[in-house]
Amino acid sequence: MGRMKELQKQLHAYIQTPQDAYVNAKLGEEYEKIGQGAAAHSYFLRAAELLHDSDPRMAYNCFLKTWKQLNITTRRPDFEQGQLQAAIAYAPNRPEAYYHLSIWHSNRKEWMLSYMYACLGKANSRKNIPLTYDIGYPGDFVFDFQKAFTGWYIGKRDKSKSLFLELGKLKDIPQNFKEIISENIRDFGLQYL
Amino acid sequence: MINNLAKIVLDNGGTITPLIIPSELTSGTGLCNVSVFIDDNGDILANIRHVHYTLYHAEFNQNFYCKWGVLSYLNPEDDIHLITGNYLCKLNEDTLEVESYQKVDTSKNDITPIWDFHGLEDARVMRWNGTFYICGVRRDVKPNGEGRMELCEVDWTKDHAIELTRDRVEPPTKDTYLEKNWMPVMDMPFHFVRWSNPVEVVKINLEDKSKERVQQGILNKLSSTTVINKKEKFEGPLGIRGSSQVIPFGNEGNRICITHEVDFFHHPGGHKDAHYYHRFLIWDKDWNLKSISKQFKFMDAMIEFNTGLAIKNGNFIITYGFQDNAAYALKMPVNLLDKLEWEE
Repeated sequence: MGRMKELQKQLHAYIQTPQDAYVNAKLGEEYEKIGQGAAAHSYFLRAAELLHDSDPRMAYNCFLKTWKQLNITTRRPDFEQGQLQAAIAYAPNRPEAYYHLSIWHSNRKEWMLSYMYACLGKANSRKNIPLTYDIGYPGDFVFDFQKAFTGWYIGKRDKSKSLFLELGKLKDIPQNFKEIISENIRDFGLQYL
Repeated sequence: MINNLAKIVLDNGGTITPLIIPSELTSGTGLCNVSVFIDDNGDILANIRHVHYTLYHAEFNQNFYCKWGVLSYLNPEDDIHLITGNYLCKLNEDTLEVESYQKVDTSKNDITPIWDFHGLEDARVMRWNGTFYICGVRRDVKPNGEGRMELCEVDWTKDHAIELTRDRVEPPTKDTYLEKNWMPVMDMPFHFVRWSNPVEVVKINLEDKSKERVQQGILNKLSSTTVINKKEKFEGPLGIRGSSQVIPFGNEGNRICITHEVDFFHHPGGHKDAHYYHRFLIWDKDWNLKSISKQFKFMDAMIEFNTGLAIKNGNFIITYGFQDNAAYALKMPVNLLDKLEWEE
């Protein structure tokens, strides 16, 4: 019931000011929270359009949200790839879309492309103001993680090992990443000098 | 023109309610084009169209293209058919929220679809002579996508909603390609407004049954006959098409409905795009056009579509889809009609 009340609140705000981009985004976020991805998609895309020239960081955030809704829905891989590419074209200095494109390619065992996007993401991952709405970006360490993972398959095994060892020193990263990193350090018999 | 009817409604004592089917059943794809109906016992019933896509539609300056442009049906890429399913719902009398729902089971009458659009689209809900029906357009039985209204009796209990019969309605004029958005006339069983402007009312001939063999099965068909065909026409900028049901209105035998019209254009990328507008339209008891409102949008979006109108306790209940992605019910005080703009 609480979620429906909040949805109603944001819907009423939207109706009062339907061309307020930030209100559109809030309504999109509420729809996302209850799994209504299509509705969320509509309002985030409106927000992105409204902010295209005035607030590029928020526009980029909302545009990536349109990707996220279909990522959750699944079965639209070409769309997902296109949205991530378009996000990079719009904001090439932000890291998030590079990360998800790296994932997109590594899920298809396209190791070199995945590695490339990890490198590009790392090069654009410094001093960025965090996005307002979550689009599944755990932090800048993900690029070293992707480089360690994909580098293994493209002749960079020594670099891969050293990256996993470096990643193993990180404390403040999500548990699922910690577990994978630990497994690799163990399985590869890696040791800290 | 009114860009935001919902704001006028909320500012004048009305309400708006999002209509939701849990995403576990829909994968979060679009819910839209809802038809509402007040049953004989006062229950507020509705049919929510569930589409198996999310509509991508960039608005305003249309800067953000997706891979296929600014307007794209994001179907599953391993099955690009445009698929519709229908959920029959009971709405809460106070809040209009979805209280219970049943997906319409069409398996008894299904034949393998052979065109791009699958399922019964934009179904309107009604009870005629005690029998509960939904009626929408189906385009999946012939290789060219011919569309015909199909009248379907549904057995709906708290446990199931089963399509018992499915009759494809042939229009009075033969050889048309696409018949859709016929508006059921709620107080005239088996009558529809086929065209709104000028008005043409058709009657389904329940006794004139036939069958047609098509590629994947056999269609049950009913003929129809034009019973009212007026010449008087409102001269508007766009062709006026059907949207809601046609419902009795007032004490003088008038009837009211909501119509839609589509303004197609080509955006700077060169692709076809459109604005949808709606109007209230009132006929007198003899189907003379009495009043027609100015165009309105419900919530400021380019693509909106109404398929339901009912009256309960002095309020209209108006149901519609927003960009094919979201569904809403608006409760609008009937006397608010006087505050809208009307054509001279």
